[in-house]
Amino acid sequence: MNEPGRQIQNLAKEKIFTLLHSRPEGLTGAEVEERLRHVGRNTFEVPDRWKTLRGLIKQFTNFFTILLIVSAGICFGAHSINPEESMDILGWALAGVALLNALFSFIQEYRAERAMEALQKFLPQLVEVRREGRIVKVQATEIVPGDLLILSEGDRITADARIVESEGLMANNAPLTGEAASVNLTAAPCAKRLTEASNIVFAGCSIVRGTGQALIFATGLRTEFGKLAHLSQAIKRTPSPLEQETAHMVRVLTVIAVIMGAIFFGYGVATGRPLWVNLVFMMGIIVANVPEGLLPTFTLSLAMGSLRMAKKNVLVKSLNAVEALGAVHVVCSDKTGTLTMNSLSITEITDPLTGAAVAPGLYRQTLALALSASEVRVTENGLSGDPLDVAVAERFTEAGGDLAAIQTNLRHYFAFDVAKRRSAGIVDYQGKKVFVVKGAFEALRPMLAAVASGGNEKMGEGSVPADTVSLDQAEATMSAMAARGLRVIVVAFKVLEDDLVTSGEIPDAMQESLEGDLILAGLIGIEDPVRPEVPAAVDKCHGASIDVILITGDHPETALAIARKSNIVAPEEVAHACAMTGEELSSHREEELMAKLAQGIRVFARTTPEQKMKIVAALKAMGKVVAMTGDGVNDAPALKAADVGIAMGRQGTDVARESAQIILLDDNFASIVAGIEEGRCVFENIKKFTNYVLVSNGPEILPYLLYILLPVPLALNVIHILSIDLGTDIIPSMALGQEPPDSEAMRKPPRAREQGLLTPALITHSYLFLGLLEGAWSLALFFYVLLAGGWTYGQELTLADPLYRSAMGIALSTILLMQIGNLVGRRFSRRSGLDKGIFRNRLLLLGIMIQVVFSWATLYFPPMQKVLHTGPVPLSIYGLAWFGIVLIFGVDYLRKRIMVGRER
Amino acid sequence: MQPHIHLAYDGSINADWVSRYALHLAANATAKKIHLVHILDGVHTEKAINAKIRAVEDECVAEGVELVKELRFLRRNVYSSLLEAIPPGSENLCVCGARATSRGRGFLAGTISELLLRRKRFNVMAIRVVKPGLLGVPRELLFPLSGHPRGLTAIMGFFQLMAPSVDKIHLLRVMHVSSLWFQYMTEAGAVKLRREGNAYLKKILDEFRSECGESAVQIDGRVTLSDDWVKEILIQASQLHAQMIIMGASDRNLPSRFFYGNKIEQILRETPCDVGIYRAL
Repeated sequence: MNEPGRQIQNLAKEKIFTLLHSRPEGLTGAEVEERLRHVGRNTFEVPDRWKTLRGLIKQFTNFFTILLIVSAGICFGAHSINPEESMDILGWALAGVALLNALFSFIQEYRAERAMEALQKFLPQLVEVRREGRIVKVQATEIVPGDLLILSEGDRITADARIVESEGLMANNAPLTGEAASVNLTAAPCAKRLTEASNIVFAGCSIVRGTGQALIFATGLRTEFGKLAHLSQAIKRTPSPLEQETAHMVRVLTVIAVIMGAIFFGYGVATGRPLWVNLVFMMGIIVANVPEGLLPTFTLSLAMGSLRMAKKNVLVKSLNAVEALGAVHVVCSDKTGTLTMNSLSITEITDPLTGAAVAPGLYRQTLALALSASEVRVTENGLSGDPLDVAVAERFTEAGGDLAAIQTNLRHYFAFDVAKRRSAGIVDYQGKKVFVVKGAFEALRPMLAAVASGGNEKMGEGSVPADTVSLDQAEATMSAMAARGLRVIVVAFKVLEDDLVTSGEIPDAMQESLEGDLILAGLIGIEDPVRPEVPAAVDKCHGASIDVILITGDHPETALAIARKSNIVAPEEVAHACAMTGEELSSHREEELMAKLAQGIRVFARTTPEQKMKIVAALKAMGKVVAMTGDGVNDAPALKAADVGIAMGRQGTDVARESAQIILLDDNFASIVAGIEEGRCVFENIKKFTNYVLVSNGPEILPYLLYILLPVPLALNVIHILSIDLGTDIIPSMALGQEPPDSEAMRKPPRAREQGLLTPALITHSYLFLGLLEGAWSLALFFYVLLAGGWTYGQELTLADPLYRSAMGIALSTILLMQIGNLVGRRFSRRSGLDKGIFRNRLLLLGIMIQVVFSWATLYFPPMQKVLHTGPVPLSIYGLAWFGIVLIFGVDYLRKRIMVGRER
Repeated sequence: MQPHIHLAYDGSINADWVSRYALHLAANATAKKIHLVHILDGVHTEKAINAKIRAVEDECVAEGVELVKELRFLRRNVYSSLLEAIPPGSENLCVCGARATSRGRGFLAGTISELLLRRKRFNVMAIRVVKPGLLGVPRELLFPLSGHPRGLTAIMGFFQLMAPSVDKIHLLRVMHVSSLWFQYMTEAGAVKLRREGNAYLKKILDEFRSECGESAVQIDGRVTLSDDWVKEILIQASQLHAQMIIMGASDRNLPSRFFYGNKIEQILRETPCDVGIYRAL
């Protein structure tokens, strides 16, 4: 750090009033008015009255929606030219699909904005300030820099303020720091940085004890909490891989449709056909090319995937996250509660020098001392307080100690100080006044004068001087414990002179003067066991080439031990090759961090929640799809910045839950892995039904090409196409979306961000192979019926002609039936599709049934004939349409066999 | 060479807040001197102004800085009066405030500060203070880099005055991509752009080190891709807990018309921390 600062936390409180142009009596009304004009209201929301409307309009600007709206417009235009064609029905259908798509996307996006509401709820509406010598309650939005804030127990702070008066003030800064333990606050100047100062209260945090006054110096978005709020609003989640791939697919299909439509419209005009015929024809080409039902089916498939995930304790808030979870390359996980059980238990107390377990008497004594520097309350529901303090109290009681006696004899408790990483207490113990400090070894080491050893139960006897040798030995013991995955706290004490602490009030400021010449009593090892299912889940991730990164605020040794126990790092890996501390992290530029991550860093210890953002940004810059877990308010920006934000259902705050796309109901890492497997399955299924749906585009386009190029009747009209795309293909597509995960799903690497849904192989297979086959067979039967009925090449037929209606009927019916063969074949890329499990997928059976019934009804059910302008054919010809199922399935199976043979 | 510091002081509370920046810069300069200029334009009485300047003077004394005040009568307008009071040349730095309240007019557009920035008679730093509690001593600075070939050369003199109290500098290179292209950009395209950004950042870092040596200031650099560089700067400022954004101004982004759509105006309006707009000769 550079020269000691001259910021607000560094200066004496008297000076603060002058510098902020305020006074102990508070501001005047006129001053408040002026400052409100200068810095604005104390609110976290950037006012934007058009936001909702803009969000809605934006949904109508994507390629697909524009195409549908333009197509609807053309249909209405065509209808006004020639009402007999009933093109308005198609127009309404297309407009309806466009509207539904846009509204659905809007609702999804609108729901994602609720993080801000949760943040706003964090702050009270009214606040007490001193103005013109009187204490008044004002709207929290009306306070300004220079206002004197009145603080009392239970208050939630509404702005960043410098404390000028403190009566035992203690605040919980968890929303900002993530640290559950409360911190002591004073009015004295502090040499630390603003965010670490002990004389500053921050917006969003709460007063847990004491009273005081503080001078506001930052409001609204300029507070530290405001910055979190700003990030939560400003960071827009990057589109999920599926969204990107869908957008790509829609673009490609739209461009193909429009170009084909325009070319053939031009050709029609050039060959002298009437305008409305050309318009209808162009619409047919566009409608045939665009799989109208595909996007709604995507949504349905994702919704069904989210239901399946919910059964695995993975609650999905945003449907796109279903598939995005399956596409992740890296999972960044918290430790406590996610990888571990979050149940602290003391497993050992060791002699600092020998590293051996202490004797039972000394065991209880060390716990008694530790308890004297802890804050535990006895409630109706058991013990409450910091989990670590509760663990100490529980073990002390189990060891036969008298908890009530210690609490009665506790003269003063000095609260845990996050920056100092220790708490302390003064207790009457064994007839002596004892000052006890409990905390991290690094924090206590400079205060030690002696190290207890040899198991002597008489306090202080048998200890050795704290020289470099003994302290290094104690540190080695501590490191060895940490390396076993234990969280280590050390307990040190000193016996006070009787007259040093009188019976009166003990000021918190006394703590510092007492912290010297301490005797190290013992090292307490606390374990938060790894969840039993975690190592296997991590192995599964590794098998699927997914990296798991542990991010924790714990000591590096502890973090590394947990990472080893969880199989995140191999036992033989050395710390410097796979672990990094928050301090190192802050010194690295993003590019350097990327290099470190590429080299294999997988454990980040002693990190702050803000550093999660840096890790996410680096991983995303490496082209990775990142999932990030979080539970605190300050995790919200990182949860939004990650491709998949995962909040904890049990421990998480509302703000974290609203910022995330996925909520883990059991906080368990293994559930994330189950979700990834489901997500991969969803993508595989989406690929299957995209392939399935695009196959029917072939026989839909082919008749139009023949119609414009040759003097033949049109085999399918747009209503037929829509009955396939928005009718009979929907349930079979959903059935493919229901297919169970492939056993190989978690043995394949995640797909690259670049890998699209609409690959050249898929286009070739859909359009040029199966599509062509389906088109050829349906047209063959179409012309067979025509020729058998006496039609001659070049002869024009009217829509009312029974022969033409029968020919159109068999063409449509053949396509519907051949889609059954296509459907079964799409179940597996290499296997036949008639494998075990076909009868377990009830939607698949329903889909097949729908195709069969519709193919029959198209030909033989009069109401349907009327709607579709179709007519009956002899059963022998209908039998040939059934043969189409075998044909398409058989030819495709032959292709699969050839492919398998080649792969071998 | 360290510049002489001139403070354009209009007597508002915002000017008091801006004066802390001038004071802080002067305290780090060898001359330890501020030339405070106030144009008596009738908004405040002379008595009131003298009382306010006395308060600034007290702060200067406490910091060991000499304050030379100059109250001038209005000639034509405040702008030309200021031009007469502040000598031209690159050895002079004028510290002034952005408009305290936008009221629909923008924070810089149409202000005397904008005219001073445009005039290019001396170095100018126009500051918008939104966090007066920082007392003009930001410890973490965010420098958005525009990709200009001159790099940080222009701002180096100013930075050297800030440096003693700065702990960390964040250099940010936002690679701007048009909105239409941004959503369809391939991964390979993004990697290429990032590489270009990192190369530029490295050049700036080398330049910075050669000018300032291996100072105690920690320097962080990052490259981001965005279709909205203003929004990206604001996000990074919040994320990095920057206490001040320092940006260079150019004629391109100082149009007096259409100020509401002006990028600098957007930053001044939505900033989570103090902002300094700098122009060196």
